[in-house]
Amino acid sequence: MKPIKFSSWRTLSISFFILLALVGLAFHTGTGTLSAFGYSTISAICPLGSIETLIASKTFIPAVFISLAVFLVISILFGRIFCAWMCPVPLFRKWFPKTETSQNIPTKVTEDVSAKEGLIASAKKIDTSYFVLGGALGSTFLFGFPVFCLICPVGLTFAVIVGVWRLIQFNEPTWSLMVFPAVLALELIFFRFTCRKFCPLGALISLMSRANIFFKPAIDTKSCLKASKGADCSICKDACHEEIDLHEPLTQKALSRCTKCKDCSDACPMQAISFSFFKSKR
Amino acid sequence: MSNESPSDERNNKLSRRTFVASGVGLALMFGLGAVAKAAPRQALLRPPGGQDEETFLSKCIKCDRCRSACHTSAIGIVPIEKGFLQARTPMMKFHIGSCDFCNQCIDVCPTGALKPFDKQRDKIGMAYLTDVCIALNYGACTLCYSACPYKAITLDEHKRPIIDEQKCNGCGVCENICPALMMRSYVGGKVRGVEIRPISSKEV
Repeated sequence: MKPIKFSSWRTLSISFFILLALVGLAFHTGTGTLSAFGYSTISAICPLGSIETLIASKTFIPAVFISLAVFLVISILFGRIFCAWMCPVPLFRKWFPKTETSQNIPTKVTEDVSAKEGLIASAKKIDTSYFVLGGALGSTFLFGFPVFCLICPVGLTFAVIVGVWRLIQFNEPTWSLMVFPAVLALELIFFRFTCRKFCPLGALISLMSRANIFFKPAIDTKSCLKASKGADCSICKDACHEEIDLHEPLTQKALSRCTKCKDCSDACPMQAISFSFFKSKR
Repeated sequence: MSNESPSDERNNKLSRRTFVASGVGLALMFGLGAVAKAAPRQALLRPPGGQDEETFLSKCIKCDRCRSACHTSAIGIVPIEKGFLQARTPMMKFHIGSCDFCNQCIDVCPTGALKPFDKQRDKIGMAYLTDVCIALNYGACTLCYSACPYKAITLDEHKRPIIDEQKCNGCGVCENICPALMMRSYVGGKVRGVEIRPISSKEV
């Protein structure tokens, strides 16, 4: 029997959080959605939503602050796991083909020199999502309400689920059910790389994950075809939604974008990539 | 040289593209904020503790916890046609349920957008009779009068309801029980004989 792929585990994990929201819809549990979920007065709040409410209301809200601190600790321990294991957006990402790479950057950069240069340039190049994050926070401060929440793909996904549920339960037709999926689709089509290039939530969690300790991806240089035999293999990099190249000397900055989705280790023909709990590479 | 120049060009093009994209992303967020701020708004009936609209909007992250926690299903979701900024935030739907001030929604609100609420002092909204009220038109109906838990509805000499603005806290029991839409379904309206309307300012 083939081992179950990590992508299946991920789908299962994401489904669990959608199920939590559905339980909140079916029963009066007050479970909530990924924007904030919890039990009774305890809630895990979206880190971007937390910061947005703090700066929009310009007040210190202890519960929000605590939740933010807990999220920071989780990010330091396990990195950007939210993006691959909780956020529902990767579920739809399958339907939107990964084409940008082949359009903009030739995938097969064979000459050594230009490959190096390209990598240096890509390491130096500014990351759009951090600017979106800055814009979202600045705009929130200026206008006094959480701005990104208006178009947050996570929030919109759950808004659609809630909307459909209420349409059936209370016969409540609303334009929201047309507008929200449309905005969601626009985001995923025009920002095909929403997660890497646009999402300020992902950017924020990446920043928090700069000090990540556990589950860092590493290549076993003995079995990796590129490292051991010099083969022209970039399967893991191509599989990575964040375009992290594990063959490069890995900086904390580059690794902070890793969502621990493990698509690279699924894709590697030699099973050379491991996410060991605690093993500093090199 | 011939080997380097195409890659240089590509890198320049790439960084220019990222630069422009970053600018667009930044501008998009400020544009979104400005549009949402300028979009037309309605006074909405918020769950208890969310009556100060500006503070409420600055803290609500549309997480759905209050709506889910409400055991009478009195809390619903604002549809987008009622306002771009307010869409997805909670609002009272007294056609479905009424508020018994159990404080569940306030307890679960993660960001404190719903503040502690005192049902003796604070008000969700205020009840108003509308022109489909059966008692005003034909008499004989006294359902809201007998249902009001706060004795905020009294009857005049013709047995027409009178609402005491001091005692009414907008719990919605009267709107929830009002049979005007069923009894007078030919009117074709959506408004019941008595409805709770938001109190526009912070007065109370």
